[in-house]
Amino acid sequence: MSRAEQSAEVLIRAEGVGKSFGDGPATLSVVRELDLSIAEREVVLVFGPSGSGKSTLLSILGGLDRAFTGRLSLFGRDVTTLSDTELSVLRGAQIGFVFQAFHLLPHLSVLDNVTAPLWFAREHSPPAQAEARGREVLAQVGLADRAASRTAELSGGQRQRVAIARALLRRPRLLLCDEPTGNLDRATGEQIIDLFASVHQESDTTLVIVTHEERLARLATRTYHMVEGRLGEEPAA
Amino acid sequence: MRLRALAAMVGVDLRRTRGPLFTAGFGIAVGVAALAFFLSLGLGARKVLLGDVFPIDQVELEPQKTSAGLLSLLGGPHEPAGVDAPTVEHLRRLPGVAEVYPKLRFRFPSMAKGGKELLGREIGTHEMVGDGIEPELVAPEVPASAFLDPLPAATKPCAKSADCDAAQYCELPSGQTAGRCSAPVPAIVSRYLVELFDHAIAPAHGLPPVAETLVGRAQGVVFDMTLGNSLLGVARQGTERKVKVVVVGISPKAIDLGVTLPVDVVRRWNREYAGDAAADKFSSVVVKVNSAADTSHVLSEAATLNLMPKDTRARDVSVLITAVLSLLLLVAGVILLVAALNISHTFRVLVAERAHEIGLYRALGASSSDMRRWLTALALVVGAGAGAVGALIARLAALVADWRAAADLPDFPFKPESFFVFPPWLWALSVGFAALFALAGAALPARRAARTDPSVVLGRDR
Repeated sequence: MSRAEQSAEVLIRAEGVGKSFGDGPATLSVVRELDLSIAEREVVLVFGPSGSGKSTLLSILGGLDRAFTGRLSLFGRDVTTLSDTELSVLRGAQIGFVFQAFHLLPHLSVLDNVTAPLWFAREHSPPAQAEARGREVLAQVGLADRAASRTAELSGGQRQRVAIARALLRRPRLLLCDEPTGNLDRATGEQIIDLFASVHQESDTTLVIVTHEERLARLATRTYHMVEGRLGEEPAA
Repeated sequence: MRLRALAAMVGVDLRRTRGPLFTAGFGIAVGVAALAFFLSLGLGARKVLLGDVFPIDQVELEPQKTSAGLLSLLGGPHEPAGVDAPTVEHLRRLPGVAEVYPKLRFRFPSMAKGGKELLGREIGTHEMVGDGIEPELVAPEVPASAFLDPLPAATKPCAKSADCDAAQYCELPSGQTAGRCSAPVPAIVSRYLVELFDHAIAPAHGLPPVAETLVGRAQGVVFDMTLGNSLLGVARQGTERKVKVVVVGISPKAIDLGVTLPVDVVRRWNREYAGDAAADKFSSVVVKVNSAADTSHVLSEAATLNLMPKDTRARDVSVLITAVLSLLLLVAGVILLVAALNISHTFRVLVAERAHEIGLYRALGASSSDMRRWLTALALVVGAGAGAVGALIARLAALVADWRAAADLPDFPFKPESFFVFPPWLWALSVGFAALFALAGAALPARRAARTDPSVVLGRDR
C-alpha cells in the first residue's frame, strides 16, 4: 500500500496503463505499463521532456482519452465500465482542467467563460446563483473587476487565471494542469504558481501538474519524471 | 445537458455564427417558400376546379348506353334505360358513400322566356333542358320548404291562367278540362350557369350580371316555361302549355346547363308528355363519396349494376393537377435538397472550426450526446426559423399574385378571389419540412462532433 493510500482516499488508481499509436513495427508507445495512485490533497508533479507522454497521461487520467490498455479507476469507479455519459458527468463534477493554451471562448465575457461548465451540469443552477459562484471564483483568482471583460482584453496571465477560475467553478476534487505556466513569462508564471499554492491550501484540491517548470516543485508532495512513456518517482526531498 | 443550457448555447451560436447560418437558412427558406407557394396554388386550383367546376368527391352515374344504330330507327321512339328505386337504395348502402341523390331528366321538349323585371328585357331559350331532384338534397343551399312541388297546396280551380292571381298560373295537365291555380314551380340553377351567363352571355348581349341579384332577391326571378314544344319539335304525347317557374337559388346539385326542379314536378310532367316509364325510373344518380379515395370502389360497384360515370372530367382534371403539382414540388424538393447540402457544408465547417471548442466542452463535462444535441438543436432552430420565413415569403408572394391577378386578368367563369389556399397545416408542414431538411443536413456533422476525440483536439494546441 502506497503512502497516499495510507493517509487518504485514493482518487486515481492506474494499473498497467499503456497507450500506443499505430500497429506492427511502426507502433509508437507513448505511455508504458504505468502504475500510479494519487490520493486526495496531494500535489503531484510530472516533469519530462516534450514528447515524453506527459499530456497523454493527463488525458487518460482525466477520462478524456479512453483508448488505453490496463486499468484505471477514478474516485473509486472503473473508467472502462462507465458509459460516455457517466464518465462525462463524473469529469464535469469532480475534475477541473487547466491547459497551457487556456482554451477560453473569445466570444464570451470573462464571467460567461467561467460559468460555462454549468452548461453541462446535470443539476440545475439558477442564473443568479451561477453568476454569484462565477464572481466568487473570479475574486479567488484576483479578477473580480474583469467579469464583464472580453478575454481578448486580458493579458496571458489573466487568461490563465480565468481558466483556473473556470476549472474551480464546480469545486472539483481533482485539478489536472497541463503546462499551466508554459505560455507565460517568468513573473506571471510565478503568480500562477502562487495561485495554485493558495488554491491547494484553501480548498484541499488535489493537483496533478505536468510541466517543465522546476519552480512548481515547491508545491509538490510527490514528483515524477516521465521519459519515453515511463514514469519514475523522484525521492522525496 | 439541461434544456435551458442548450437554449443558451444555441442562442450564443446564433449570434456569433449569424452570417453562415443565415446563408444556410436562406436556401432552406427559398426551398420552403417554393414548396408552400406551389402547394397552396395546387390546393387553390383543386378547390376551384375540383370543388366548384368538376367536384371530385361526387360522381354522376347513369345506365350504360346501348347503341342499336340504324335498327333504332325501325323500332320507333327511343326509350333510354333508367335507374330504379332499389338500385338507388343499394348505392346508398355502399361503404364510402355519403349521399345519393337521383335525378329525373326532362323527357319532354320545353322552352323558357322571362327575366324582364331583372334584366330590363326578356331573354329565353328555345330548347330548355332540366332535371328533377329530391327537395331535401338542396337543403344546405335552399330551404327544403322553398323547393317543393307547389301543386298539393293549390286549391283554387281554374281553366286558364287568367282565372288565377297574377303571381300564379293554371296547372292544367294535357287532356283535362279543370286545373288548379298553382304558385310558380321553384327551380335552382348551377353556379356554372350563372358564371357562364355573367361572363359570356351577358356581356355579349349587353345585359347586367345576375349572380348577386338572383340570390339576393327574395321573390326570385320568374320565367314562363312552355311544355311540350321546342325548337326541335313537339312532344310525342300531351299538348303544349305554359307554366311559371321561379328561380329560388343556386346549388351545386343543379344541372350545369338548364334548370333543376323538384322531382315530383318533373315526374308529373314526364308522365304527361312521355308516359309512365319516363316517370318511374330515374335518369341518373349523383353519388357523393366521403373522400375522393372512395370513388374508384364506388365506380366498380356501380359497374356491376350497369351504371357508368357520366363525366370523367373531374378525374382527368385531378390527374392533371396532381401531375403539374408533382412537377412543381419536385423543383421545390431539389431546392430543399441543395439547401440541405448547404446546411451540411456549413455545419461541417462549423464543427471543423470548433474542434478544440468541442474538446473543451468535453473536458468541462459535456458528453458526446450533448455535442450531438447541441448541433442538432442549432440545426432545428435554423431550419424551423427558415421554414417560418419561407412560409411567410410564400404567403406574401401569393398575396401579390392574387393582387396582380385581380388587377390584370380579365373576368372569367369561376375566377376565384384567391388562387391560393393556406390551411394551418401548410404552415406547420413548411416549418416541419424545413426543420427536417436542416436536421438531415446537420446529421453527419453532428455525428462527427459527437465523435470528436477531446484528447486529440486539445492536444493540437499544446
